[in-house]
Amino acid sequence: MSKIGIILTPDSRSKAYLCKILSYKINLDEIVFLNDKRNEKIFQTEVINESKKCGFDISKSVTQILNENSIHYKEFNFMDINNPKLIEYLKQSKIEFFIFTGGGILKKEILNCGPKFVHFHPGIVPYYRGSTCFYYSILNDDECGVTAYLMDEKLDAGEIIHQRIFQKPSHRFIDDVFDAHIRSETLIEVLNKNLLDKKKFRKQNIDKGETYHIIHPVLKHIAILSCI
Amino acid sequence: MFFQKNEFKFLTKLFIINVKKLLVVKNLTYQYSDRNLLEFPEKYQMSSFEGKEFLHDYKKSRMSKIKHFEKNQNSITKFDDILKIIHFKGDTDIQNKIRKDIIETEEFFTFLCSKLEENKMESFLKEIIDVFIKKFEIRKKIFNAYNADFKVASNDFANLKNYSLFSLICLLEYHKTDNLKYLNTSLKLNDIICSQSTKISSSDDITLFLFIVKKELEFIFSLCDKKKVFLNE
Repeated sequence: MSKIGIILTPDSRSKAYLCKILSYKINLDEIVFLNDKRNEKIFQTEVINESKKCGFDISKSVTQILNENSIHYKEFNFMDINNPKLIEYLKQSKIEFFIFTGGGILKKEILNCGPKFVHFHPGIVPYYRGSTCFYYSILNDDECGVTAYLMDEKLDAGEIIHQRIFQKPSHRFIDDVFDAHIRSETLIEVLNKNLLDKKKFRKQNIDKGETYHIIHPVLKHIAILSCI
Repeated sequence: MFFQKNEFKFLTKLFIINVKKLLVVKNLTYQYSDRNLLEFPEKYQMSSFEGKEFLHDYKKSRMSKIKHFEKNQNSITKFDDILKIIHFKGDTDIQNKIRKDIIETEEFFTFLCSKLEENKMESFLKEIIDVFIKKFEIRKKIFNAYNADFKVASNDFANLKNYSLFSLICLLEYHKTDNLKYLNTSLKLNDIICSQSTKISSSDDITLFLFIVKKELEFIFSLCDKKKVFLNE
């Protein structure tokens, strides 16, 4: 059985991953928390309620969730995924796969330090690489998708572990709630089906597909309005 | 009754959020072209959702620019007609110069337009369009010259003609392919041009400006219809 860990960051994605791992009673072998103790975003009641419907509570901090569940974790007081202190720690780790939740673009040093890193990208690659893909997917196809892949130096071009399609949401909280929800649902599927153990990973054709850039607010509004 | 330090911080944050919201509601204007975007680029990260009113305000903002320039201008609505106005008078050897020498951006974009008019866009030229899209999306600037590796070879990024020509190229590519990547970049280019529209003076430049803004609006509202997002006037 592969040893699996997670590197958390103080954001809604990490909250969703953590809440769902706990509710599905999945045991991870290591939890690392990159915590620069930033002032967390405050969410309106509507957003909090929607997050609870999706199986996590966006109003709680990652620290709160960890402590309420008496979870043992290693904390660093920075957010930079490429920080040498983190790399040194990971080199000593016996973990084969770390779930990535944010903290920057992985550089050569961390990619080569031992463990492999698994990213849950909110787009079906190769057709939706890049940024804010769920909005483009809603506009083109009226649906969204998530790709779990092993991270390498290229953007969204690593070996594919799993892909899953989701219906577009019926609410407007796409950035804060829906994005975290679909990524975390895909994470649970990957873990429950032991897909990291099975190691049936698919190489991508990097010459195929499309890379999108941050969506313009006009297109973003059309996408959201088409959902609600 | 005194607040604990954390409670005070929380209440202050909540107050600021609601004041900002109130300001947005009260002053619903399209804010993405209301400052000098060449000097202060817009990153478009995590933009807030403001409902249908935002699209109304976007349309009003673009229409006000159109109305300002439309008097005494011939209206051009077809791609073929606008491409005829953009004369490529430049170096016919430009295709061989690409990836070898420094390329003047305006000349190169005009050359691309001529290729689009002839409907003879080689695949490597399409790849170069994608390179320029990526470069623009990262820096939100188009410079006056690039070297063989498409690295910046000029300090000047204020030539609005470059932004207008590239917006035209993106709109034409969107028209041919329905690929939203091109419409997305055109919107950002047009925000920049609209933020500097007082500097547009020549008749040909005004004609080009009117065409790209009107065509952008046409594509956006066609997309609204397709996605059943109806804006009640």
